[in-house]
Amino acid sequence: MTSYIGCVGMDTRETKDLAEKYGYLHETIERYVQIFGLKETTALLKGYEKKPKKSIRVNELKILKDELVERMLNKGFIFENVEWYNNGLIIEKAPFSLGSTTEYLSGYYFIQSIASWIPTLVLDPKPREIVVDLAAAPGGKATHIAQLMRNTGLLYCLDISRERIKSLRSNLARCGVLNSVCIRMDARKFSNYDIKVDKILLDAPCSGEGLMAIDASRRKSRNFEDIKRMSELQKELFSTGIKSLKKDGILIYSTCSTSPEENEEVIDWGLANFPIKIENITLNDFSPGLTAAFDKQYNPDLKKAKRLYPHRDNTEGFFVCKIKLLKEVS
Amino acid sequence: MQDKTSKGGFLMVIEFRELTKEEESIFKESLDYWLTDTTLIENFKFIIGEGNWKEVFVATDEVIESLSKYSQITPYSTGLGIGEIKEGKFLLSLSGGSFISKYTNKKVVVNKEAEQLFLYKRNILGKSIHKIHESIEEKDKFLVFSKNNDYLGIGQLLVDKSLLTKLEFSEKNVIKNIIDLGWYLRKGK
Repeated sequence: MTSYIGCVGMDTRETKDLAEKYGYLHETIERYVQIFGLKETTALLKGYEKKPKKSIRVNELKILKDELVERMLNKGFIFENVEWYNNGLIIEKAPFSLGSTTEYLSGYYFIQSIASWIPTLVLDPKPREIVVDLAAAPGGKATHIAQLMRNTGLLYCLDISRERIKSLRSNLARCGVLNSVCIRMDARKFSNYDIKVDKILLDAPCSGEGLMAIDASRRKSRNFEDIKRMSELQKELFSTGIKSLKKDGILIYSTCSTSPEENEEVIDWGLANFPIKIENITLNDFSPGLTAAFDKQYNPDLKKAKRLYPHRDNTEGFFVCKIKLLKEVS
Repeated sequence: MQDKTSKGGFLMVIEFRELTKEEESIFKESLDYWLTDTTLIENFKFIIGEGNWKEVFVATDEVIESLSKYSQITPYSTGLGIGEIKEGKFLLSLSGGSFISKYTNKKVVVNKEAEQLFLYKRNILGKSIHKIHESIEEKDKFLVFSKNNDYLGIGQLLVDKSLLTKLEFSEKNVIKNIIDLGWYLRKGK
């Protein structure tokens, strides 16, 4: 028995049917129904049946969008623009692999999901700032940060994995990034260095619950124990991030999970333990964060966070929250 | 210099420092070969990362400042690795080629077919050369470009340049592939 819910009034037959029909663990569907209700859960599960369209981000450190688009159109690619991000392109037609073109190898673009642009855009890194990407590999968001910093200032890129940091270095090189310092380390220890920075991106390791469309194996391989374990790790990483910020510094917290324990609960815990506040996110009209889930009430400001869902936004499931530090902590 | 990893293996720690006078002289001499405009050197800062080998990195002022300020940090890499100093020579790397690509005339332009083959590690046939700079001689290294003016990698001329127009060399490998951007897919993933 899981202890996270009291399934009052829930029709177990309906949730079992949904779990069977879409190939999920029953406990996952029960959780979804409690968070979103039956109708919304059904829509969500249908959304996860369809893979999001591929998308690319133009790397302005190497090429301008118009030139890249012209070249790619000549090769038979067809794109759709994104209303809220000028350097993003959704792929409507790809005559061959996006990862094998001369333009890709030249670092003119990064293959990256739409949702993955959001944390960096909300972080809004500026030239000459000092920024940390606490979980940087393979470098999609780190190269995006460097691009917005116009390749100036200092970008610390951390990752613990020996294999993944190689891939990070390769992507930074391909994209022509000059302002990075890559450190292979457990990011939870970064605050031990006593470095205070302007901005931090914490795209936290997560259960990947929002990636059910891309990797269907997660539907049965991830359970509530995974979510609880990730939530603890996320709080530790959040804590190190906050301790590494200057006063008025910004931390962006994001995950590709829709579970409240990995998102709102982490921020709610942060609000109770650190002098921080949640800032508004003005980018597009995404769904607000949750202020209650299961038997828990979260800080009402969590509605300022944003949630993305496959059935509403044609993306993976995603969460992003913008945090401002009001007073330095150690 | 070595740090034991959790798996019991050894991880090479790279020490980042300024170039010595000798290294600076080697580096500048090599760039004299590659660059048409050496103001590139004045506009950027370079450092050495020394571990198993000596790699030259280009980085921002803030990156270099942070390395001395937080000497307890042992980075895996910094900025952009542009080459290696080995046996008294500076050897330009794949990303180094990209870094200098707008400032060199050591260029060979190849046709579309050769562009694709070169990116798959293949050498270049005589018939595939679209343009070769007059300064390039046999055994010289140079940057290989597509007709779209995209940098593709580093090549080396295997034959006397005067032979390139001869029919018998049209189907022969005349440019050796030293390294190409396909490396990012083959090894960089």
